[in-house]
Amino acid sequence: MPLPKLASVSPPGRLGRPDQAAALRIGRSLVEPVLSLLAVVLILAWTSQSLLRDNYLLLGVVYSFIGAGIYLSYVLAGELSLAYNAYFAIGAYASALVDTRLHWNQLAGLPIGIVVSAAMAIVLHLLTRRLSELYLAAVTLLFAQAFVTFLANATSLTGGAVGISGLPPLTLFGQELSLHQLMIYSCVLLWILLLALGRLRGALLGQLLRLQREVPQAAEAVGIPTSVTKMIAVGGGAAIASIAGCVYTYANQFVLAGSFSVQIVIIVLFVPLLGGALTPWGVPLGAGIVVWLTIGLSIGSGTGQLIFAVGILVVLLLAPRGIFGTLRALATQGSSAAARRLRARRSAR
Amino acid sequence: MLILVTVSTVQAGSVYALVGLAYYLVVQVSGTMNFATGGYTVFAALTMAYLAQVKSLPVALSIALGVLAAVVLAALSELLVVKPIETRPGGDRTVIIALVALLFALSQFAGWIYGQQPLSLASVLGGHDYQVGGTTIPLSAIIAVVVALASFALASLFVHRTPVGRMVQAVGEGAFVAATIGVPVGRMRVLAFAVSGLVTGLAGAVVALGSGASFDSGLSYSLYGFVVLVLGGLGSAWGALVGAYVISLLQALVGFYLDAQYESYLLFGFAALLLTLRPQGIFTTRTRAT
Repeated sequence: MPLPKLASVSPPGRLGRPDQAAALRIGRSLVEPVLSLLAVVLILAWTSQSLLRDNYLLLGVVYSFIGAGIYLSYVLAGELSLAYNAYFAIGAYASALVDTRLHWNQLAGLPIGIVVSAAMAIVLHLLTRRLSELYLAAVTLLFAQAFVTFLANATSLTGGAVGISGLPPLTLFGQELSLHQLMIYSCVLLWILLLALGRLRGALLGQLLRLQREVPQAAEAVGIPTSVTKMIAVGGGAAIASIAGCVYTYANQFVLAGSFSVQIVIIVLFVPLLGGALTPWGVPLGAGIVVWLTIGLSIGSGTGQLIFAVGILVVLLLAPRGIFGTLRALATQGSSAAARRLRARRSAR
Repeated sequence: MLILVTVSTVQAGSVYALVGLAYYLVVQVSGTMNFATGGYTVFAALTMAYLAQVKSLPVALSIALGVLAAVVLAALSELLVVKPIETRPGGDRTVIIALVALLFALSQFAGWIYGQQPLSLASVLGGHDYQVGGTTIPLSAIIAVVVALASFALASLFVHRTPVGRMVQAVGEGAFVAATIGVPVGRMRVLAFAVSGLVTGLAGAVVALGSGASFDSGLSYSLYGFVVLVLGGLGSAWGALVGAYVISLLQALVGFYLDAQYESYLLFGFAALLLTLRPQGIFTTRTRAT
């Protein structure tokens, strides 16, 4: 008796035919990039009508890049490094200094900022690698404060409190970019980065990062080099945050030490937590909420920041999975309840 | 010059010591490094100064209400933030973030209620300074030292010599075992947070009577308190007192001989060196991750 063909004994899938199941998988994998790209296009269309909106978007993009760095380092890997204002500043000053000192295109500051920030984050991580994360948090916060002092006082390098001003607009392919054009490029870069982080979360490295975050002893016992994975996360997070600094310099054409206060870290630290760990798309959502509350909501000095701070505590207490995670849990509960009702109706018939 | 440095050292050091003691009390019972400690201190200081200066309440009553505010805030932090989060899976990590969020919320709340300008009670002590060898020693510095030493002595007596203090210690050494022998773990934790709040309230009084406080200075006090605790170690509360005066002496010397900017480098360098070379602090125990 001849053996049956492999295809005929393989499970047919939910739709009954393997090609339909594969098509469904491909369709599902396209939902995230297509919907997010649509959101990017709509936001850019909305901001194209006013310079003020472009400035809101600039702040949102800057917070999103820093938040994406924190997402990789803290949300995925559990490493609570809090020197993100320093990494943000390194990108900003690198972009300004390559122009004023070396007379290069400001874009050259991007790779320099990425490398220097990552190296600095790794050194800080190595200093506290044997200690609990609580100490990493505190030491990096102390570093963040010392770095701000350095920026304001190292006049010969950073320009001191008055910073570096009079930078020319960024040129790309021989063309000077307007703020809106810069926002288009920045949003596309952020979109690619968040897609990559989403893929990373499900990939082997992302799973290793999450494993060493949840059960570090077990991860080490099965041979995962946790010191290396932590370094990748901390260095990668700092590198991503430095991109925010570059965008900030390109847009403003100046750098001021006062823009990199420790308060930035405190605010942006919560950006990825608002959206939740489930997906990096929570980062721009959180950044948008922060911009709206701290600048867009004009209900009195500091009130927006107070609402934001209380909102964070409420999210941490009542919706620890973040907004997306909670919505998904509610949707799952809703569909389960609907399925139960359907089964009950069928059995009643 | 020596007297100037000494006065500066004891005044600042007393505040750092009290904030460090507040950290210590909470760490001992819950293992939590309460980053909101500086927030309670500033909130208490601003409450006192606002009630006395703006609302014209008697100074003693204003100080009492400020201390009470810190006690209530600290106890509520345990009940509403730390305990609910810590009991969740992975809560240890989230609680750090939550306490940073609480510090931020307290700062913003203080700025919203009391305004964004610094407030001080220094004027109530005007004319009561002492002259020693041609140098003025402010009464606020003397009050600061007395309050700090008395707080450490009373906290030490409370923890080591009273039955309730021993129950608090038992919870710190093992909540599960303490619960099995009948210690009311939840209440002891709230009590430790409340006592820590009382200490931050006293720190707030010292701040208000000295240079005053602004709504956003809580982070700075939290960081100084942390470094003081790291320097002193977790073995004894008195370690925090020594650590505080060492830090403030170095700070005063750096400020006097070099430049104020070096103070923040000193703080970071000190913490990084200590945690790298001697993570157990001056006096004690384990700070390494398990």
